[in-house]
Amino acid sequence: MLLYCFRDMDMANAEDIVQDAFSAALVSWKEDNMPANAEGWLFKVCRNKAINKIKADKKLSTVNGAEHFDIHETVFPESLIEDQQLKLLFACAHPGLAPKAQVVITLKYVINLKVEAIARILAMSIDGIDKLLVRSRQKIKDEKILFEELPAGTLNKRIPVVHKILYLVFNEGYKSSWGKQLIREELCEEALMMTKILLESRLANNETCALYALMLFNAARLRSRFSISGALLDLEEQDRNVWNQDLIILGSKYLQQSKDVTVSSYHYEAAIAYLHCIAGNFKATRWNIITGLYQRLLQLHSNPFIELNYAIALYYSGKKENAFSILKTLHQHTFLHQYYLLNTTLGKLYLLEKDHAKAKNYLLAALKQTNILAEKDFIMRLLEKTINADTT
Amino acid sequence: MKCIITFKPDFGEIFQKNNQRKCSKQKSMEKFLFIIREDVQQLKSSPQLHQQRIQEMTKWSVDLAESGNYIGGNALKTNGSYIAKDDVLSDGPFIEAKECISGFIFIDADNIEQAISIAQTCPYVMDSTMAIEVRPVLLTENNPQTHV
Repeated sequence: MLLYCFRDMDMANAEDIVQDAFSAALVSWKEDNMPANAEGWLFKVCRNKAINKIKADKKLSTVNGAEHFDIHETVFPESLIEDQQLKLLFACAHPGLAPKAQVVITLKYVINLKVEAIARILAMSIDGIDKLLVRSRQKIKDEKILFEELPAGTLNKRIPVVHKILYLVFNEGYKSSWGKQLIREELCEEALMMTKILLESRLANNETCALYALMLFNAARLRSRFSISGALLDLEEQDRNVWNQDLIILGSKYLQQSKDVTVSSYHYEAAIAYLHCIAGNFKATRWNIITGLYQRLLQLHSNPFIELNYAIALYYSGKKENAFSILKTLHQHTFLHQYYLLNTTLGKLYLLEKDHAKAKNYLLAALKQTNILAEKDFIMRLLEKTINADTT
Repeated sequence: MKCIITFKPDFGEIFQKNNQRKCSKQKSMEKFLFIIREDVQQLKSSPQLHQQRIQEMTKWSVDLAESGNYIGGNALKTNGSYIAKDDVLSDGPFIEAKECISGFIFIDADNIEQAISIAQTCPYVMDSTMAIEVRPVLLTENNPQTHV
């Protein structure tokens, strides 16, 4: 916020000032009542402190250089907070930053998470996050990324990047829990909220709609992914009665609305999620349509990780041979070979095929490839099945 | 469970036009090759370390795939030959062992700045035990695809 008004200030200073303002708030709000517009109050305090700070800095430099100074302040009404958040989000979507860096600065400056929290969520070291932030901060400073008023054309161009950021933020929240689960659910909520804000702005397009639908479908299933005892459940084991029908209906509405001439990967992913959501049980899932959708998704953007999902859908749609041949090809790939989900998938499918020896090998490999406890437990449960089957 | 969905999107209608129109976003993406360089002597001496580093790179590839940037890639074995005119040096010419090619990754990115920025997010680049050379792939009109 502050950074917007004062182009002369850097981020570290701005953060200090905001902290100051909050401590001032704690002192004065204790004595009086809360001001009616708390955000506005805080902003005013920050603004005044910022002006003082800039004046002090400039005085220092004028002593030396005796140069004339004025403070650039962009004036805007105090109640624009929500739009400001969106604006910042668009600023974070600078095309020169890596998607990961964009997510990190969004979490830091738009969602206001602490570095430690971000590190925990993204499974990165605090040091790593700091390095990313320092690098992006340098870029932000050099190119004044957060300060520019973006023209409509640029904003429109950045929409795909903004979508990507929101998608990734949601994804981070959706991934299997490790560490504190609560924070992760909040991330999904934040992503949903920001997508909603974007939807209500003039900038939204049909992709925004599809993305929102995709998030709603996944959010509907969020609670069912873990059993009461906290164990990770796969789609087949999930209790479909826990799925939030309101979210599914809302999602369908947005998916319907998102129809347009252009079809994005979000459309396909949302459609796949929709088909999963409306299936009465695992067996009733319309795997044939889902494989078709994955095929389209692969045409649009092919990568081995989507192929993995495609192969799983193929297996359940009855094309088992195709599925195994794709999986085996993927397995020769150095990076995929090390990917626990590929090995888990192979393990599970061989288990279903009753080839327990093979299943066991893949599952043992997978077990070494993840450090997340819930996932390890999940693989262990599959392993037990292979062992039980052997003994009977 | 009852099906209470009232809106039934018609997939045929939604998706039929896809083939006529390519996604504009895809078109503006460029392809890049990441040439991964690290201390191959060290990897050779410890297969366990090698394995561990490949695993970490796998995690990074998953990240890149999630953000839609990953196309493909592989790690390389630690041996090889170097062929130049009149010369065949086997078992590696590895003059500067610390910067020997140990793998490659193809990615999609908006522009070279973003590709560089992506390379900087590699965990081993961050702890400075790896260097990545970022090279834009030269595509001709007849051959708009890279085959990985």
